[in-house]
Amino acid sequence: MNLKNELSLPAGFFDLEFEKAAAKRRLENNFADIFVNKGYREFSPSLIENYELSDFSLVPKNKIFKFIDKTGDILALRWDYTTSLARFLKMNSEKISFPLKVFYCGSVFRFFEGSMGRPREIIQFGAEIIGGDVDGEIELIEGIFEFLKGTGVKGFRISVSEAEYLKRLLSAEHLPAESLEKILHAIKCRDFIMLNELASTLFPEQREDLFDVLLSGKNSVDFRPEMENFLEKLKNSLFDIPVDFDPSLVLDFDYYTGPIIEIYDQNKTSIGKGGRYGFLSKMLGIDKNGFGIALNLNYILGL
Amino acid sequence: MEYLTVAVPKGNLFDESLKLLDYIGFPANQLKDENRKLIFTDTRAKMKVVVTRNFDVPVYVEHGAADFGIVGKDVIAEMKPNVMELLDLRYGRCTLCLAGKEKDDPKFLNNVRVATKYPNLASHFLSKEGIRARIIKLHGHIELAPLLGLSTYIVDLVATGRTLKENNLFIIKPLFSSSARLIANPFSWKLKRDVMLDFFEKARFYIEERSVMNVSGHHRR
Repeated sequence: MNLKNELSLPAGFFDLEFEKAAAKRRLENNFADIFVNKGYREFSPSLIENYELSDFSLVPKNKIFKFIDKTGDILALRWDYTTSLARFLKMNSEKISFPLKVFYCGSVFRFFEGSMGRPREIIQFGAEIIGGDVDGEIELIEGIFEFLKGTGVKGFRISVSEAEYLKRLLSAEHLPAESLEKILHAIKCRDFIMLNELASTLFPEQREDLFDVLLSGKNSVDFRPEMENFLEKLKNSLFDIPVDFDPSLVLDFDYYTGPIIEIYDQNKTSIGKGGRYGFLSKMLGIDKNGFGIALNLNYILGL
Repeated sequence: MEYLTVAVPKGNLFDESLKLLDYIGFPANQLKDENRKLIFTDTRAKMKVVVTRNFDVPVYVEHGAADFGIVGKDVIAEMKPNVMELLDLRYGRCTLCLAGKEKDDPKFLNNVRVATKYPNLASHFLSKEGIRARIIKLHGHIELAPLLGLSTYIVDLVATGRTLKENNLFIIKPLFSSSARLIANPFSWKLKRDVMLDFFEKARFYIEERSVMNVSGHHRR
C-alpha cells in the first residue's frame, strides 16, 4: 500500500468528527446524569481482556478481535461490557456490597465479515444491576427510556420473552441435550426450514404449537408468575410503549434466566437488548442474578 | 395499511418467483416487460416488488429495505444474513459442485487454485474434504477460469450440467444442495405481522399444491 496517497480506515470503523463527537459527548452526559440520579456508578473496564474470558459470553468466538502478545498470551478487544463486569465481580467479590448498580459508556468491537454494512466498532451505553429485585430492574428500564426519549428517536417498541419459555413449550426435559441444542440453534438463526425438519421428527405433536408461537406471537404456555409480575410492572411504567412477545429472543438457557427484552423502532433497527442473567451463579459461582441492557449508539448517532 | 416490499432476484429464480407472486395477488405481468424499471407497485395488493441481483436480496432484507425476499439457499449460506428463513420454495434446485477439466479428486494436491462466486462456502467445504485450495473470487462465468488456466478447478452451481458439458468440465464432487427460499426481516415481521403471515400462508399453500401436482405427474416440469 502506498501510504502517502492511500490512507484509509478499515471497513466497519469510523472517526467521530466535530459535531458527531459533540453529539456523543452530550448523549454520554445525559445518560450519566440519568443513572447517577438513580444511584448508579460508572464502570469503565479495561479495553483489553484475556481471550479465555469469552467462554462466559454469548458473543461467538469468531466475532472477537484477538491478538497475541510477546509472551504468547491471547488477548482480546472488549466485545461487551457484561462479561468484563462479571470478571471484575469475580476478582473483587468480597469487597462489593449488593445490589451493585453500574452504568457504562464506550465502545465494543466485533468482527463481521463481508460487506453487509455491519459496523465492527459499536458504541454501547448500558446499565446493569447485580443482586437487585424486580423493582430495581424496572427502574433501570425506566432510566433507559428516559434517555432514549431525549435522543429524538421515535416510535419505540419492546419485545419480551422469558428465558425458560421454550424449554417449557417443548417439554424439553424429554429431549436429548443434543437435539435441544439443534432446535435452539435453528430458533436463534430464525431458520424455520431447519426447525420444521427437526420438529417433524423430534416432537411432531407440538410442531404446530411451536410454529404458532414463533410466527404468530401467540402465547400458548403460561409465563411463570414472576415473569407475569415483571411484565405487569413493565407495562405499567411504560404505558405508552407497545410491548410484544417474541419467543425467538431466547439466546442461551445457561446465560439468561427470566425476562429478556429487545428495544427496536419503526425503522426495523435493534436499539438495545438485555435481560436477567443467571450465568454469574451458574458459571462463576457468584450467588447473584444480574440484569442489564445495552444500547446501540451507532444507530442513535447515525453512524 | 402499509405496503409490503418484496425483493426478487433476476436470473434463474425470476420466472418461478413471478408465478408465486401472481398467486399471492401481485399481478406479475408488469415485471415481464423488458424495461429498466426496478420497482413495481400494485395499489390493490398493497405490495411493492423490487428486482435486484441475487446477492443483493439478503442485504435489502437484513436492513429492512425489503420485508420479504426470495433467494437461493446458496446465497444465504454464503452471506449468513441476519434474516428469518421461512420457507423452502422448492424451485431453482441446484447443487454447488467442485468441477474441473479432469475427473481426478484434487485431495492429494497442494494449493490447487479454485475459482468461485462463493468464497466462504468453497473454503468451508473444501477444507472439510481435506482439499487445500487457494480460492479465487470471480463474479460470473466461473467456467471460463479453468479454460484460460486461471484456476485448475471451480466451485459453482450446477442445475442441469449443460454449461459444464459444453465447456468440457466434469463434476468431481457435489458439496451442497440449494433451492429458492423465502426470507423476511425479523422486525418487519413484528411490525406487519398480520399481512406478512397472510403472505407466508399463501406461499406455503402454493408450494404444497404445486408439489402435490408434480408428484401426481399432471404438471411435471
